[in-house]
Amino acid sequence: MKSLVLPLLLLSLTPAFGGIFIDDFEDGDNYGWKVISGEWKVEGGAYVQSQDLPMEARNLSGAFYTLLQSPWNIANGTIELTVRFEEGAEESDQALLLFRMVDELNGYALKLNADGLTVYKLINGSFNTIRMEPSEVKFPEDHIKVKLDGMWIWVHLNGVLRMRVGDADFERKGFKEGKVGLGVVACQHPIHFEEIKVEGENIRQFRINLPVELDGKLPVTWAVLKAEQKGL
Amino acid sequence: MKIRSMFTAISIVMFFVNPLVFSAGVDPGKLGVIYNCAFPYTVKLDGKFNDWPKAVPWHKVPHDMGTQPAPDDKDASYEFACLADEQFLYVAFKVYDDKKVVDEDTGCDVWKDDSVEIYIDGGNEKAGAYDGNDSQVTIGRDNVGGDPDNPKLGGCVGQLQGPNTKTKAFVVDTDYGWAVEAALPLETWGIKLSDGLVIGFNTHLNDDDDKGPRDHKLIWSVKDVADRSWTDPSVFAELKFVKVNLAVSPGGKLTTVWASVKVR
Repeated sequence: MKSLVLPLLLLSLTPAFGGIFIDDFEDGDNYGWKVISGEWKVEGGAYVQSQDLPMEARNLSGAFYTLLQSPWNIANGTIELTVRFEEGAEESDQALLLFRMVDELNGYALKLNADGLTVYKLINGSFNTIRMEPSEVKFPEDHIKVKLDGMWIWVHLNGVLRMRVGDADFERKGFKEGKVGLGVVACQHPIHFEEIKVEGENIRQFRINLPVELDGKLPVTWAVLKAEQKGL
Repeated sequence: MKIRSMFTAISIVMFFVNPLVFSAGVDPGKLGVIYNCAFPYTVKLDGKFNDWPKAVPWHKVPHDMGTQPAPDDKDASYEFACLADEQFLYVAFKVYDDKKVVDEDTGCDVWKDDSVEIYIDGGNEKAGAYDGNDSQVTIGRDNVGGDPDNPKLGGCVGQLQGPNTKTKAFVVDTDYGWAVEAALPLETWGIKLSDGLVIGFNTHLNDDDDKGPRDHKLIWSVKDVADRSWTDPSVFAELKFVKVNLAVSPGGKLTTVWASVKVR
């Protein structure tokens, strides 16, 4: 009995651990992702949006995007992914990373295009610019890392910290946690999103190749199978 | 015995005369929130800081305090200090910069190169848009070797634009980067100097490492979380004028005192 005291004590003192979710799109399907608009397909280890959007969307409802239906929300933590453009995309194509989306039209977004990086607060789908920074976006491929810490949003582009911006209204009207998504504001070529990784408190891998999350169902299924085998 | 008493006398004199040993100091205020600006004290614009009393606080803005942080303080960081007399608000900057870039963008566009920005809200109204007593004054490193009475200035926003503020600036290169001594005429913003007067105030640093777009942007005001000071004075921090007896710069006085002690 005494031997249990220390482990239990340690367990009770352990803070909530951060976890990781990764979708490398190597499984060939987009289970776990809800397409809101656009033509999205998984091919070649990437999630690709291929429908043309020649006019730049002024509202999220005019953009093409998809949201990860995760059982968790990202509050503080990091989101990483690689965006790959096709030849000629520099003139027209604009990619979006959505985060802390509380529903389909409200949250935050990072836009990546030839002009640089722009962080938006999305209110009822409207793009409200928090900060635009004319960073050098490299075509055809860029690695993005977004770190979220309360009101602060840190943006790394290709390994270099390029932006640290805050939502000044975060305490009153900020989006504290929400879903992650991918999108396109304008494009005349397919845009490829690869290897998305989310890290943070309460984040965990869920079976993205199954339409329904397992949670505690596996032991139940196992028990049923065993019972059937025994002819019970 | 005579030598010991003389030494004691000199020490006492130094304590009261030399501001370098003036230990009372000025309450520094709070980083990014409020700067307490001592007055009255007049500074000579020469790019040196030897006439800035030690008691004057310097606020250090580290490499990661801004919307485009730098990897370390050597790449980009800065310190600033302020003083005032009846005519001018003096603002000094020590800019730590390991890659200095100038002359790519000048005048109104100097914010894309190495430059510092001073923001004034003379009435401290904290309005959401610039009014007649709000300014952005941008001083580029392209002023090194220039005329301090007629420096090239940026800050072309609002009604009272930086180039029209009659700001003087002396800019020099240093071994750690570069430095600025600026004098901003108080009457430009209708500021009547008095003990306890608070104005809206902010400082920024733009750092360009490789030509092309600006690489780093550091910001003093903690309210300016998205680099909005150029359009929104409500995100400025504050500067409070504090009447302090900073004594007088020692200049050659210590030698005179020493001579008179010797004569006795």
